[in-house]
Amino acid sequence: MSLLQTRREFLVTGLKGAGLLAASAFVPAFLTRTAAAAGADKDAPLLVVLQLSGGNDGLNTVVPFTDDLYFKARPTIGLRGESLFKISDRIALNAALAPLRREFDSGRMAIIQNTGYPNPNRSHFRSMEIWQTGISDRIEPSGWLGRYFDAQCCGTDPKEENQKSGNAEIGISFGKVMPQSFRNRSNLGLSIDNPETFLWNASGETESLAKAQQAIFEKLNRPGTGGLSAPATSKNMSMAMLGGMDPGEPATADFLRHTAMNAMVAGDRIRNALKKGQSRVEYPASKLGGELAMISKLIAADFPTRVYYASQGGFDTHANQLENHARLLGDVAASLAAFMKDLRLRKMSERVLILAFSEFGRRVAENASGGTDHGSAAPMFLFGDRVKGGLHGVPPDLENLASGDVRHQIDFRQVYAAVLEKWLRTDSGAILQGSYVPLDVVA
Amino acid sequence: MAFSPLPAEAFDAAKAAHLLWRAGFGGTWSEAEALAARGLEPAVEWLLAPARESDSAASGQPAAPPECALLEPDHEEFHQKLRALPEQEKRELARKRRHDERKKVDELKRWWLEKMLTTDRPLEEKLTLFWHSHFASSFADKIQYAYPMWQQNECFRRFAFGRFPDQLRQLIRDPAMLVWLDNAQSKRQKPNENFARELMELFTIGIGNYTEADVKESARALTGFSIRRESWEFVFRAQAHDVGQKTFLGNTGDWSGDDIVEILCEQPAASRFMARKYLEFFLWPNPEPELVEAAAKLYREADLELAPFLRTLFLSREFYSPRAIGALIKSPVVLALGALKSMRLALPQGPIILNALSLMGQDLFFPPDVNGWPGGINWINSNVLLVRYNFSNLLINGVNPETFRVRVPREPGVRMTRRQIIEAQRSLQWSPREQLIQLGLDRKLNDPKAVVDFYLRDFLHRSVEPEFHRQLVAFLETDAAGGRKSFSFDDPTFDERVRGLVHLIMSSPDYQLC
Repeated sequence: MSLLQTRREFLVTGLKGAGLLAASAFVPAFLTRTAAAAGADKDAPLLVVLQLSGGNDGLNTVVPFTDDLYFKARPTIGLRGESLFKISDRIALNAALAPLRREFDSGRMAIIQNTGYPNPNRSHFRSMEIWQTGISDRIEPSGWLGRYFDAQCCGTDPKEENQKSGNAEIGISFGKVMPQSFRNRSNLGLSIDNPETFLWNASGETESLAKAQQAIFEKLNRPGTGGLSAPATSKNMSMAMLGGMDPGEPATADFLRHTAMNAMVAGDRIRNALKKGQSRVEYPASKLGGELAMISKLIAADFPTRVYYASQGGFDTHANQLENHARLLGDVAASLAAFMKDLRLRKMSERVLILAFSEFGRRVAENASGGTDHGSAAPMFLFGDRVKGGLHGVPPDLENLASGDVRHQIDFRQVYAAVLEKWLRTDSGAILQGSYVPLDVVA
Repeated sequence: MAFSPLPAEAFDAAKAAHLLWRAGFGGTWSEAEALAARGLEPAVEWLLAPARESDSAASGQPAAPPECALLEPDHEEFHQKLRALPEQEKRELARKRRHDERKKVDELKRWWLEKMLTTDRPLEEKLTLFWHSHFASSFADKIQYAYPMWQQNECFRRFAFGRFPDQLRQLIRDPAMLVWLDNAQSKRQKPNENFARELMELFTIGIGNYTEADVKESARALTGFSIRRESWEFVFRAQAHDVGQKTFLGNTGDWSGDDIVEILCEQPAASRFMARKYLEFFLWPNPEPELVEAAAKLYREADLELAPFLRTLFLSREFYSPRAIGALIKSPVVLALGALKSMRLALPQGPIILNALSLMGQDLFFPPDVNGWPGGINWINSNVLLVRYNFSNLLINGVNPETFRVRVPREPGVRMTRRQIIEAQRSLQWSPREQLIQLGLDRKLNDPKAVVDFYLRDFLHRSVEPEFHRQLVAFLETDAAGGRKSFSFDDPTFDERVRGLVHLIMSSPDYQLC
């Protein structure tokens, strides 16, 4: 489906009721620059990012089961025997990941061991920010995927105000909050929690009133206009979103108008896509399972989206870790396995690469509460037909720790660089704002 | 840069309305006028006034919990009984208890919302909300009882205006917090670092002002700060406490929790960190470094007591400057309660308001994580903004209550039955006409311009572009063919038109700001 068709379809169906835009000369920014929009290509590669929030315990996920130091450090929560399945002479996976065994055995699952960054930070928030922005040596508001969105629509020159338009649906995240990874200058990207709320209804029974109301509503929510109380200047808008400017300026209101417009234009299409296309696979009845099922339907509906973002929280296992961690990993594994099977059945698996990460791993030694405290390096995971499956890097060196934590051997940005260069086919240097050698993980 | 006082005569209804939004949950224009009539200083003193004698804050006695927050009468035995049962039954029984407590915490949310909506001490409730996000603990996963959540809420209310060290001394003894951040089970043999880290990073001095060694040392000092699970009371377990020497932020001694608090409060970083938080919550986002510095100095001069700090802020020219007006994005709680106040409505019955808050991203007693609600620009994304607009349509017209149904399992929120949806639809039919008659305003609002002015003032409290004013008037005058006709109070579609008008005001980006 091209964006031109999209626009026509939108103008015809409109919003419930009067048909927003139909009567107005105004067209949202992202519909005006179809040529620059990246996602219109049916065969374009897609990235699905899965965020494991809270700090996933890498050592109990990808387990160095022959290392005595591991059991010494974890006398009660160390995994052995039936709690594991072996994937190499030295490494076994947590048995809760069993639903993914098939993906591993067939080379569609890559495990990148000991990823991290220099001077690891053990704060959830700062470390998550580093992973989401890809910048570890200063505070940066924009996200690594957001900078990719910017580059797709507008080039990498942030100063060129005229270029601020593009495919707002380039990134879709699930949940109530948009991840910092998505923050960009061009106001692109959508967040969805409940697709049913993605519409605005005029109120009232009298048709002429509803129409008049709709027309005023459009104007109130039209980017670049004054709105109710003050004139806005659209050039300030993107900066407000990046938190770099005083949002008391009209820019905040303009950011709100952009957001409303993007949501409404995408809303009908998203709801329609989700209503159609029942998948033949049963997903776990979990939040993550539901989100991946929706992603699969949106891909099947040829959405112009290049990046989908889902997350699973609860990995901050300071106490009573064994059971909780197994439950979380089990949900992740079952949800991902269902998703990948679904993609294969829909013949879409070649287009999709999945990247899973967490903000840090956990302390090697267990604490007194049957849990683990914040640590540093941990494994990342890639899934897809075109990943170079198997184990990358070497098992964690438990003899040579940095204040009780595993040292990182592979910078996570080398994995980002591989995804950007080899999969999304774009220059990683400009987006990561640094030069990282892409890791050889994508065929 | 420092705060300069606002001349008392400059305090008008618009400024009073601004004060009501920031120090409370909004209000009608007539409430703003009444506050303005009191004068600037008395208005601010009213907000800061100590609680009445009967209040828990004044008497120092803990308030009695509402019924929904009580522990079950068999709570003590329940724990012992649970231990003795076989695994399967144990799980089943614990699951049932969690389910019951979940319902109770929903009632507790309503209890608090009711308090916020009807209180005559709005700043106290606003601060309780501030502390709930600053010292964030969630019912989810670890706590799972309504009683400790209420206990913590009451603690925040009691110390709302107080001195930071006193607040922290209570915090390190708060049972919900000790369980939520795993300190209750932290022992000297292997201290749990969770609470110690967040205490510095998020609660007092912020990242960059301590080392990993400080985390480990303060975690040792906090060992033994625990609870008695059977009663959710604080208990200090001497045998679990590490009495050895610790070096914390450069100070060496046999520190315990209170010493850690004292050392933290001595750090200049603490006053700076908190001053920035207060400014972001009450003044404007991203306050400039000089302003933070001035506010930190003010806070230190107030001996880290919040009331005098806020007095200076609320009396300042800066607080009422054009830069501050409308500079903040309303939190969902402020948005929802402000709308109810402007509409002169009581808290709607049923689960809708709770579900709406959850869908808008602020589920009380369920902050997303220990960092609380990040707020500001984070309140808004494509999803949430339309939920906000639709919520206003629901309040005004009773439209689409099913949108506020919670479907995702494991997600906080109340399941709604078909019957509840229909009831909600019926009960939420706001009648502006009846209301105006009751207020004796029916004859005064016969002109469409006056109607638009009245509702813009009640809902927005700010002047609007003349062009939009004109369009809103034209909207009221729309005839069946889309042309214009005259509009009066006796128009049979008066309610429909005014509801449409208010729905438009609330479906504007401007209404999201205060």
